[in-house]
Amino acid sequence: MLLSVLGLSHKTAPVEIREKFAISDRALAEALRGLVQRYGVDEAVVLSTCNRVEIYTVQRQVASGTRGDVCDFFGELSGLERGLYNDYLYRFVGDQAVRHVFRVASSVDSMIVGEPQILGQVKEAFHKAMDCGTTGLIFNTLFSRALAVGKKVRTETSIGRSAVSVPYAAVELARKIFGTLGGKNAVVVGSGDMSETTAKHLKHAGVENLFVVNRTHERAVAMASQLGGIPVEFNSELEFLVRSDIMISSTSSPHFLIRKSALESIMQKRRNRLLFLIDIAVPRDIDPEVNAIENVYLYNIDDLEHIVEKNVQERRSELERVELIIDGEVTKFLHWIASRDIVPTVRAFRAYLDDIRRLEIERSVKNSHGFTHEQLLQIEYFSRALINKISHLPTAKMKQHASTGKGFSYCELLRELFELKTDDTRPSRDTNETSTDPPVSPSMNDAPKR
Amino acid sequence: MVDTILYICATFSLVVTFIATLRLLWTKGETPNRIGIPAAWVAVGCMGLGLLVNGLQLGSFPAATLKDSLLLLSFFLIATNAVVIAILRFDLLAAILTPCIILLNIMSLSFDRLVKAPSAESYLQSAFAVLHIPFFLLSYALFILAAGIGILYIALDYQMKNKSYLRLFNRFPPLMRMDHYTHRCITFGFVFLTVGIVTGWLFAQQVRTMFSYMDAKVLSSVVLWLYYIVYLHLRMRIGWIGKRTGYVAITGCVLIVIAYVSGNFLGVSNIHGYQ
Repeated sequence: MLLSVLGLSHKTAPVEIREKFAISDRALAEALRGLVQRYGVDEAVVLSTCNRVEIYTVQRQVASGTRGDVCDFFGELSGLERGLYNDYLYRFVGDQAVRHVFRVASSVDSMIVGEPQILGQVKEAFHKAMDCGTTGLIFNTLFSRALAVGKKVRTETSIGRSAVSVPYAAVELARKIFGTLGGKNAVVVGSGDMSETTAKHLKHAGVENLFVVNRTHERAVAMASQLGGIPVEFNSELEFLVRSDIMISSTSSPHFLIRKSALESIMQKRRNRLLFLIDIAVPRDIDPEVNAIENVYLYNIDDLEHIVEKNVQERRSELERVELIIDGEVTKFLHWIASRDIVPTVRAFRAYLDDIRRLEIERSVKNSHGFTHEQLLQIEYFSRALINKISHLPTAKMKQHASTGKGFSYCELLRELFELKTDDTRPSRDTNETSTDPPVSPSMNDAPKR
Repeated sequence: MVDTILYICATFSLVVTFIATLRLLWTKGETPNRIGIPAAWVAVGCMGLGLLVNGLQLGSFPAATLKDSLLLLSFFLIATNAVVIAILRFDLLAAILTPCIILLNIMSLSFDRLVKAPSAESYLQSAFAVLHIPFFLLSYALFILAAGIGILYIALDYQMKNKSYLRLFNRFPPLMRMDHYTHRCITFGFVFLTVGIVTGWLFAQQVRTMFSYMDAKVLSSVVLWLYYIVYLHLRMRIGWIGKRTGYVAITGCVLIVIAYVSGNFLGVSNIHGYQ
């Protein structure tokens, strides 16, 4: 059996190349079936995101030129000559492939380490493959485990905890102040990419009303319709702040828009409710002195970027712990695979030897006519000891290599040499097969059920 | 003997809670406090059972000695601590409260000789006394909890204002949530304190001969009551929220300590004193 990953990602290919291999949702089912039908793989999952396109395959009967075959599939996807994309591809086999799936699901391999979307994307890719009937025992178990590992990593480490972009850092700070953002009001003053993205994040995080303020009312209306907000006229008394809990300011005003004295009177009208001010304008819109007012929290662009920088470093410092978790999970999975492959093979090998032994004893007994009961017992004992001695070394070797990629090769070789038939040597794809083996660890219970 | 074993079990469970909570805070993940939460409830159970056994043995409400009174306070603190860990999930607060309660328990178990004066057993049969003492202690527990949350609030507010973050920054609950719970604890504490004062007054009518209105504990309780009613009024009228609530809660906690110490040790000649 050969478990492999062939793909390209943001680490190996620029976006101009990646975009050529992107597979739409509609084309995915066709691609999966094509892989199984034309490329002779038994199980297949395709993960296509903006940062990676990866094809995961299992081949039970290993033929030559696997890489070449699935490499050609990339040509089919893009319509490019193989020479144009071959250098961008990477390939992992056996335990390296298992490790790669776990690293991808854990977001260690992502462009922004710890980003949460990848886990959902892996889950979706797996479910689509299940729907298409291109997963079997190996991938059902592998991807269920990968999802569980992804969740475990997020739960047990802080790899995905802190924000690594300015808008998201602003949302996280808002959460630190208000807890849930449901029922809170936010106001965007001025326009700009960063302020609009932050406003969208806040809206997505549950902010109830989003007020859009601009000196030009028409622009406020246009921006409000774009953000799903409410246009509000600008007034120098800052009345819009009485109703708001969060303010994002990004005007091109050359002087301070909000000064301490003005905000103090606003805070009285607000009955001292907490106020979070995000000043992402340069030059700044809000007088830094307002931070001294009780219950007012002012953050400018530098403050937010400083948080992002700190969080990025924290995520990197967690990588070592994540890799340790992944190492443990890879070992567990390989043990499962190995025991699944080795036990039936060893059993078949011993049965094969035992059949020969019994046949030969029967033949000898039939030919000689003269063995006493004690002699027969001696022969039985001797022949059993002989096959035990013969089978001991190959069995021990296979067990020894059970947790490494070599385990598969030993099994294959033994089956090939002695033409062994095991229960799971299936000549064709058996789709929608679910694992009957015991879960590798308790976290297997997190496996998605469809 | 059985009650002492149960108190020791409760203390041991608290130690487990403390270690589990510290471990959780040390790790950066988001795993729930799987050991700390059950251990906190076990502590509540052991402590409650211990008090019950003690009460059955005495045949009266278990508040006759300073040890019993402190253990009763400890019980309410343990219960509020369990709520903090299991329901509010304020692990950081639990990490501050739990060692304090462990110390209180150890201290309580070492006070064995001081007895309430005079003839405590006789008046602890009164229904008003049985209501008066737990309501007072429950209000104290809530005020102490409010002070704990207030400390966390002020610490987080400082970090956010100065943009200088502690390693445990992510473990702090949101400011507004902390303000909300500080206020709630004070409000409920105030209600229980009021009930405690009223039942105490009713009880005083029954045992007029043993009671003086110049009792240090009575005076300090009235001061405490006035203090919190002024706060509640200011909160309602001019919006005293945030850091001010935190300061109010911390000052209130100091007043409680004064009330407790003055009531129990400075008024030895009256009903609240120990000798």
